[in-house]
Amino acid sequence: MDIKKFLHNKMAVIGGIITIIMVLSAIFAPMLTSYGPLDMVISDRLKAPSAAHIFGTDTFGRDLFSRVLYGARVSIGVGFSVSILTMILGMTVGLYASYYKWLDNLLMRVCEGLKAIPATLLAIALMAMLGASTKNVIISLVIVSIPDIARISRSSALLTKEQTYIEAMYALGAKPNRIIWKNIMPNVISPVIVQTTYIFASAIIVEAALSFLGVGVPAPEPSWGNILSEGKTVIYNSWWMIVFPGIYMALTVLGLNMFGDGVRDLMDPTSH
Amino acid sequence: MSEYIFEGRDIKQYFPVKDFLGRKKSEVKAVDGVSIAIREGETYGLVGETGCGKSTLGRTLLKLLEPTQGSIWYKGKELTDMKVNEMRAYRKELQMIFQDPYTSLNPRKKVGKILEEVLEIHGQQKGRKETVMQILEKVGLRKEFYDRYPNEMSGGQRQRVGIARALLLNPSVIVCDEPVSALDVSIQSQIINLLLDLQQERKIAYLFIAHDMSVVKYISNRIGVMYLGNLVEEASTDELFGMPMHPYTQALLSAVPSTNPHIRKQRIVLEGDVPSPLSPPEGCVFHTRCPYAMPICKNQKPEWKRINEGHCVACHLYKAEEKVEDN
Amino acid sequence: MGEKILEVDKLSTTFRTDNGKMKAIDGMEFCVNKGEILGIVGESGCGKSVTSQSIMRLYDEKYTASYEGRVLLDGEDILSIPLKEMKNIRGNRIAMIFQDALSSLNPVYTVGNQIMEPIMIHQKVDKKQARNKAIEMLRLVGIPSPEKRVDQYPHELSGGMRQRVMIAIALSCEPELLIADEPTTALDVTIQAQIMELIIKLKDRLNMGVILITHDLSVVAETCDRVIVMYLGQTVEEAGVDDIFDNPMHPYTNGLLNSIPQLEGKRSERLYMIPGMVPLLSQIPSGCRFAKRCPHATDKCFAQMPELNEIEPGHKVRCFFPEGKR
Repeated sequence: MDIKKFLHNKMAVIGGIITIIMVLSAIFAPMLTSYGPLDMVISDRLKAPSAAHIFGTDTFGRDLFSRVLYGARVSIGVGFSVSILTMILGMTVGLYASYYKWLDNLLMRVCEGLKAIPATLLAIALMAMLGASTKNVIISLVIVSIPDIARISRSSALLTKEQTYIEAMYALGAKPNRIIWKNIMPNVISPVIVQTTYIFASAIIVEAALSFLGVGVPAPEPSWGNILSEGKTVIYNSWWMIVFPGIYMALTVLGLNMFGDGVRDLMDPTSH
Repeated sequence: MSEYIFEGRDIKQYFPVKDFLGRKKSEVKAVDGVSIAIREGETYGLVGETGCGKSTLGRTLLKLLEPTQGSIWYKGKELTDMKVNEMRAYRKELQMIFQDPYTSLNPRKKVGKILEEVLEIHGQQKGRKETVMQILEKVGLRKEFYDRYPNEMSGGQRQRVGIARALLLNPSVIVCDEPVSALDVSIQSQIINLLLDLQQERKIAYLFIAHDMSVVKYISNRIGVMYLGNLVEEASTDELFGMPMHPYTQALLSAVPSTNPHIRKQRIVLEGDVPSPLSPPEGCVFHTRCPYAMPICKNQKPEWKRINEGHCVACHLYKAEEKVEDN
Repeated sequence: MGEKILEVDKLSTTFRTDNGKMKAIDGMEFCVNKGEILGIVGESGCGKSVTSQSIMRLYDEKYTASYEGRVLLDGEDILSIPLKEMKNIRGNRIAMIFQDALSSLNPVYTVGNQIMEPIMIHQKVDKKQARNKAIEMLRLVGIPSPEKRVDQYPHELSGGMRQRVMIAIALSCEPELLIADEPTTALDVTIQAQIMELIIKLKDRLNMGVILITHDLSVVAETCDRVIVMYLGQTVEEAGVDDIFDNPMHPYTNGLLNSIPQLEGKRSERLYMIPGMVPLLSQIPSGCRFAKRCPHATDKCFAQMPELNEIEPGHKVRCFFPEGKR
């Protein structure tokens, strides 16, 4: 892991810094704003950005800045959980599929079936089945994202499996689990980590889409999606309802993608 | 009970070629009925050109590939149908050194960890580091190599690690699959000397697979020559080089360039290329390129005949002194 | 043997890498005559491939490689001409064949197309004429049924045949100089013999100069007229092939010859090993580069770099104390 090389990549560093700022602002939300995300002051509703409310207020008079920051907790938190869980489960699926032929057929057909359905639609369908809650959003998004990671893990694992040193481990009497986890997995994890950063970003977007459509995180708990959803009816007069959460989300996703590109370039020995 | 410590009897390794629906279309007969027997502490050199099946035979004997037919014997015990778990214990005694030093070591692990893992697999709890250090010294690597990654080492050094890995469990038989082919000439001599020293010290039997005749001559006690999945001749080293009988062996030996520029050899140049193992010739597999082919060679596969003590050949040109008996 | 076709005059190649500048070859000087095979031997990293690729100016000259010295092709210094003009020379006047024919041939084009390509680039002929020439070339290199083979793809041919196709491509424009970079290393011994005979036959027919790069001393003994031994970017010995084997003077050459198991003669106790290891290019020692591993090194050897001197007619050595065979 060549940190110096990473630091040369300006885009990646900027992406990383943006992401860190966003994450920190979410974590330290209570210290950055005195308003609570759920505190309604009806008389102050739909006020434009001012010194008192830097992002303005929403339809119920809640401070938008506070809601965006607390919403970040939910959105980023969902993105993070989805990416970590997907990485672990997807890699497990891919590794075992690459090692055992019979498992390969079974698991890959299931994954292909899932991939055939557009992600957001699939997520909506799952949410409809499971019911709206943050936990279920995470579960749906994990199910939607596993096939990609499984496929990447599987193809890296298949390549690694053909290497002579794996054959050598077998010749030494190593058991399959040892070969899979201690010898194949370290070679598979690089492309997986790269893809995981992208999944983080896309989970944020899909979660926002779900909440926007009303099948994601339920109100009054803020998430970027449902803030945008509230704003869609008042967009002509209260532009701040869309612009600020939108910018915040776009920046976070952009930052994650740039960071992900940087990680990918780091892992790829052929790029200059 | 035989005098041989490691045997393969009538080993066949056929690889099915499937069509796109998964049905078997034809077979690649990589190894087509080869019997080999090695004595304790001796080196059996297995030579042949690309595609003759020698590497496949080596892997099959260690059950890295399951034989299509035939049996494998170690110290009198049959390994052929053993279950994976039972076989695991025997893997300690039957080891392999691989050809390519650049892919036979895990690039993400340090040498020390690679070697310690071997001990870990077979249950050694304590003292792994000491054992590994001892082995490193034995193969001529300084202690600091314990903390190196494979890509920080040269080909020759990596091959020494491969040898160390094979030695850790104290095997009685090591299959060496072209262990020096990928190395520079001056390193080859170091590795060959190392293998010879270890053999003398520990009485290890080697199945030495190679295509370089000079190296094989140097290290082997007995040599077997393979062509297109078949063993065509077997003899002691001196006998084989002094009196090669099979036309293929003769051509092979004549094709090897020598380092004496004054010797302009009378070369037997074989016509054409090696036939594909998907459709080996009928009868004797060599008859299509053999300068002495007779009508019988096209139809009948020659038997394995013993010509004199220790020298056997599969060729219609020769009459057997006595037929080789099945054990 | 005829006149000089190639003269390399104090050629050095320096690479810019992440770890600084590295001089991969230093002051290479040699000639190749028409109709002659010059062998360049040495182990991995000695710079033999760098030499041949520098002659062809194959390295990226903008960022990576810089050259010193001259390379005279039939009297003209091709190192000083604009890089664009090298296009007319490569494949036309100087041709190259590589070690691994499978990866050097384009898998998606037929072998015929690949032979026709240099012909159509360098010569003013139409497609039909080029195709006929391609078939003729296949016949020349000994491929049976060339009219059928010309439309086949590389993967349909065996290793030996692919190597012959590479030779056909290289010779299609009848070059003055052929550089063969380890052409037989990946081939079986019986095929190797066929390919080397083919190269010799074609060299005679076209009166080409040939540079044969290899680490296999026995191939050199069988086919070359003169030999250069390289170590760590320099020539350490140069002589006619008989001289090199009968009377090697540089300790490295001696060491190499002694460490090869001999096919003839008795099996000796243990093979000779050259002690130590080849140093990294980034840690080139001062003084004689082989001194650290040389059994006869003196203080002078560590302090000064010996020049390449002609000790006997036609036999040059870079050593303060050259010796005969042990």
